Amino acid sequence: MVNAIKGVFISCDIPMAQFIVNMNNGLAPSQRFIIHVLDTTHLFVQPQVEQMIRAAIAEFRDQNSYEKPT
Amino acid sequence: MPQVKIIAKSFMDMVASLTAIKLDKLYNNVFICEAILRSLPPLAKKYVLQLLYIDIPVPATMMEEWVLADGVSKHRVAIDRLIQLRIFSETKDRKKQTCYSLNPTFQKNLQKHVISGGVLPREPMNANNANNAIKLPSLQELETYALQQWECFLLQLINSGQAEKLTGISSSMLKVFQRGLLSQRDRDGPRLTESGFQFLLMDTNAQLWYIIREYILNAEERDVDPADLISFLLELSFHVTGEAYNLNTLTDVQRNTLKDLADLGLVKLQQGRKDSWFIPTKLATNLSVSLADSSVRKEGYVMMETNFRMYAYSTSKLQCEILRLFSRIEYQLPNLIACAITKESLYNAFDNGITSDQIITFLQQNSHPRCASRVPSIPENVTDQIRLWESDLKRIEMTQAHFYDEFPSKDVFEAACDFAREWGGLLWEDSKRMRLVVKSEIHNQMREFLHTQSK
Amino acid sequence: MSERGRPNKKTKHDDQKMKKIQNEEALYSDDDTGDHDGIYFEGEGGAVEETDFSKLELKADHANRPLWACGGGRIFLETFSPLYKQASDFLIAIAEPVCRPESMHEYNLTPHSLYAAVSVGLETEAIISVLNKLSKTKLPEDMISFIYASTANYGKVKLVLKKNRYFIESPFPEVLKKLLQDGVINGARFSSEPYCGADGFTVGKTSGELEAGHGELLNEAESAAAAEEKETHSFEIDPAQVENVKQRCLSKDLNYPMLEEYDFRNDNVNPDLDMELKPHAQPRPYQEKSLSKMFGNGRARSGIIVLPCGAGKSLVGVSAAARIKKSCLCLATNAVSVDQWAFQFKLWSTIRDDQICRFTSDSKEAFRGNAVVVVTTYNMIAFGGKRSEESEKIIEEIRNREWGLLLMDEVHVVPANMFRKVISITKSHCKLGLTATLVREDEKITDLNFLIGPKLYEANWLDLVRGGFIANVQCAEVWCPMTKEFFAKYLQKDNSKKKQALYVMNPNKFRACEFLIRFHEEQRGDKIIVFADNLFALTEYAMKLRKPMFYGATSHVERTKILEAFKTSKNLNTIFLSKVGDNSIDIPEANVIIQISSHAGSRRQEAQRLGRILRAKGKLEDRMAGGKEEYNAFFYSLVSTDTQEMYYSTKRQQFLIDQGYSFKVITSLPPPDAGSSLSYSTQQEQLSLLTKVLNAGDDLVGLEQLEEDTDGMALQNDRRSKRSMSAMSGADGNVYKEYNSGRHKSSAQQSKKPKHPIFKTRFVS
Repeated sequence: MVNAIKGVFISCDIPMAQFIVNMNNGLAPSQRFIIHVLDTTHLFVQPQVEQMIRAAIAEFRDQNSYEKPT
Repeated sequence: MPQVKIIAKSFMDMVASLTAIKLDKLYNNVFICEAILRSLPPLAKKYVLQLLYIDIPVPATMMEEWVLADGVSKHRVAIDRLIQLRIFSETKDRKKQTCYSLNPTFQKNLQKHVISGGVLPREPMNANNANNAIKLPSLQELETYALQQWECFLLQLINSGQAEKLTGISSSMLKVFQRGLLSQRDRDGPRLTESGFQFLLMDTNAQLWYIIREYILNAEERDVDPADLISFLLELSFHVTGEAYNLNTLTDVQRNTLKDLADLGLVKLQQGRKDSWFIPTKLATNLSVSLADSSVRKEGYVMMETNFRMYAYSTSKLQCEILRLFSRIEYQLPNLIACAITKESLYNAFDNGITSDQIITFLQQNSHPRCASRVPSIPENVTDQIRLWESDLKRIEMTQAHFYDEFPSKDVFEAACDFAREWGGLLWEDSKRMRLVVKSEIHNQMREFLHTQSK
Repeated sequence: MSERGRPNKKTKHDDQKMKKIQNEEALYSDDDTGDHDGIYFEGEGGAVEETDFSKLELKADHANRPLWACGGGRIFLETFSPLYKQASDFLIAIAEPVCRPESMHEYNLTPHSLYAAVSVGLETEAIISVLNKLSKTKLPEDMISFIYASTANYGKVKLVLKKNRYFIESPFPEVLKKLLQDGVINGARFSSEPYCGADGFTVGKTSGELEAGHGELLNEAESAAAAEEKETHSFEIDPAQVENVKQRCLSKDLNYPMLEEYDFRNDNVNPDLDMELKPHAQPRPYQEKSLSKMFGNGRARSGIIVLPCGAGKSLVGVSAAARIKKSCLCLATNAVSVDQWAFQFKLWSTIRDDQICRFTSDSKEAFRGNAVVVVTTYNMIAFGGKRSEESEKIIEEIRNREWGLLLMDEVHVVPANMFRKVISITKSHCKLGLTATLVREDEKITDLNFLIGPKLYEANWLDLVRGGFIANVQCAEVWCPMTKEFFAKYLQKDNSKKKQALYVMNPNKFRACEFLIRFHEEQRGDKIIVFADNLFALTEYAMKLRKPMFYGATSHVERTKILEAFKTSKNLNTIFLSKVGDNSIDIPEANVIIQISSHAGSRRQEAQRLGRILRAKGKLEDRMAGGKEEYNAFFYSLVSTDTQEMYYSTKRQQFLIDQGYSFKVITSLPPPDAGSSLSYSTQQEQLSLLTKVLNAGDDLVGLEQLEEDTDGMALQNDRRSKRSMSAMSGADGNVYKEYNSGRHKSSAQQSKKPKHPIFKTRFVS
């Protein structure tokens, strides 16, 4: 019987996929959210983690960008 | 600007959507005919003029021969437009071939117009008329007046506290205009919507057309015939800027309309001892020009430097508000606003639904003459960076979805894929391992479909 | 400062060499903290409040005036105004440039900038008057008071060296009286002067400013006033007490920073050096201007001249020496630079071989004659350890001599402590510092500036480009995505020490570099320098691409060989350099720079690297718009995306961006179809590179090295510590805020080179 899981489909570029995978691996097993790594640019993750992932990416992006102080 | 639905051309769509009777009535007015002619795509214009003195229907195939191979799509667009506006009517001749002919009313009026020019239903008033001692404002003063009125209106429209005085526009009318641009929020007060932000970045003429269009659409609620209104507005656009026209040449409806137009800055109302008159400003007379979508540019005022600093030669509070949409205002001097475009200020803009294209177009269109002649007028590194920052935000797409696996057979799998594809919900598939991901919104259908498959 | 003995006995030569290596590497260690981000005002929320000056009154003819001046000291200048040239000359003399792109410049009036103005002869009233003339708006009251307050005490007191005696001089006797109320100063006073004047002060005259006019900006009366001879009062002090007196005057209690001037024309005690500029030495307008600021009133002022790299500061230095015509001690940052300065002296002036000598670890030429030019490095003078007998003798000579001019190259690369030491060891009458990048201070003046003197002149990069004096460079940032595997390792926490190595050795970056080299060599026949701060990367890249390289440990002889071949041979068109290539290596023929790894956030380094190709080539006409050399210089910075390198790269560019340069972002190198024509095209190759990087010792891949080991150089310890430059300069009493982002201070991100040069310095062919 066909199995269906509910979740969130992520489509992104290779570095971002890598970032999310790394983020996932850094969590305690019970908190990990990646259900399947589909390929180098697609992931299937648990629902409700959208915000968390976006926030983590935003923070990572901020760390790597320099804004001239005012 | 693909995302913006508010474009001046839609005015013509609105005209085109009038009923046949109303449209024919419109074409009784010579100025309407000219205005509409001006608004047509170039090829369509040519066709109209070509058929202007031809009384018999012209076969479509003959017209098709006029066009070179690479003009075929333009030809179709032109014909469609002409039919939509009921300028062309389509008939079939004896040989069952399609033919086109010009709308007779339109044709007659345009012929007349071509020969004798248009005669406005009113003449400018004599400035030396002893009755009134008319003192006409200079063109410069008039322009300042128009700009002030318009800006004041806009500031009030976006509910900015910066407006120095209130316009005479009724609050209900204002609400009509604000529809779509502002959203009602109970606690914080109305906020600009995505369309609202985009509206602010638009060219003045585009903004004007949006407002006019809303005004016309709302006409029936005010017991005003939209066709009459359109007619009057287009007629107004053929008046001479800066001349005075007596109000007694207008109908009551037109007079009322004029009051609203004064609040928008399209006309200036004045009163003498005996008579009252109106003076059209450039905003009004530009209506016909901008129908052709070649907007008349105000003089640009923004200088963009390679170090992401922006200098706007402006005293306008409205322009300051607009710049604040996507940049950080650092210094305000009497005739200069110094700003900086930063990642933060741009992200703010993106959050509000403004796109990098809109910002870049705005900057290009409002480029200070000193920079406008440069190629490119905005430094390349700035436009590149704005786009890069935007694309940075879009690196991840997330969709609510369902993951399917453990298919009993290849056939079932492939059927499922096809099904999902048909419904536009297939996000990802792996045929080797028979797994697929489908948008959650079609999950229920999917489930049912799979049930039927298992039987 | 303590000195530590050396633990083991190697030959003296080895030791010296080792020290030299360590010196040189360390010399350029620009800690993030040492590299000022600048001092910025922080509002309450940490963000600058918007400032609304829209109510300032515009003058009727505002369109004819070129600038706005608003409260807080901010000035905006329209470059397209007909008065631009005079206005910009004036503004650079009184204010600090903030940014100077094509159309609108911004400047800041600060206490320091006003001090500099006053030291070149501008008076308070003149400053206000001219500023008012040029301003579109009425000058705000608070700006006027600010100018008064800032200049109240400046320029009122001068330290003048006349006939080997030191005098404190001022046109205002009451100021002198105030100074004498201080115990230290009073104690330093010589009362040997015959009684003259009511207060016991000697009364004399100084000549006025020769070029005070600022064109037509000052009215006749004002110009005349400035050019007038002035009556001055002075008292003599004990030469041994000079430093103390200077300190006291600077201190908060007195706050009368002293200007130093050398009346060289009337110096009959020190022997003359007969050298002239050769006829073919034609200074350019901006070089002339800078010298006129220095010699404006007939004396030699001490201070700093700021010129972009490649704009000809050596001619300025040599000219200054030729005007003063006394012994000159010229300090450079490394041995190659010493050679170059010596060469420049001989090129531009009539100095004879026996009048100039070099003093480096490799060449110790004896002094001959009474008046000489000695060219050496900061290191050689400041070195605190034990020297060879030869060196000791020379140092003694240097110490004992009175130098007319202390000429200091690259002053803002050298840490304050180092030239503080140099200045205290040597006795010089006039100090001229040359640099391409000036550190900005907004608040109080640190005595760092007083060690040498205020800024005398600063050139405008874009103006120099437009004038064809420096090359028009196309700058680009090439974005190289990390490969999946490299990025995965980069993200892992346990690889935090290897982060830099990973983003530098990113195979995609390598391929981009290879592509660029090939393109510029083959398609354009250019000469290319590739910079890599990280020695591991430098070696890997150079060896893989089979190009020669050199770095700190490479011998002088070896370097010269490589450079010579680079200059002359058609077969050698690309060389790889470490940080040593940043300063003073004269490679006029290079016109392409590729940067594959660079030091944290150093804006100075970025500007200096750019300077390697700024030297204008070809004929003047060719360099102007439309000519064939118009865009013939290229500066590429290769960065790995999604890594910290992006942060550092942007930060580094800030100085250049403020001068008007812009960095184009290139995201499509190498082209996707390049495939196997470039290295590391297969995953296997990439993975083996990854392994190599991960296995390399931590000390090799560009990590913070802690200084608890070998070198006995007290100087090194000072320099390497992470104290801010202000603390090192001793200006602890002064208060100002330094902006640091804070979050990037972890040690892993500081790039330091390995201690032990493992790689042979071989010409890889």
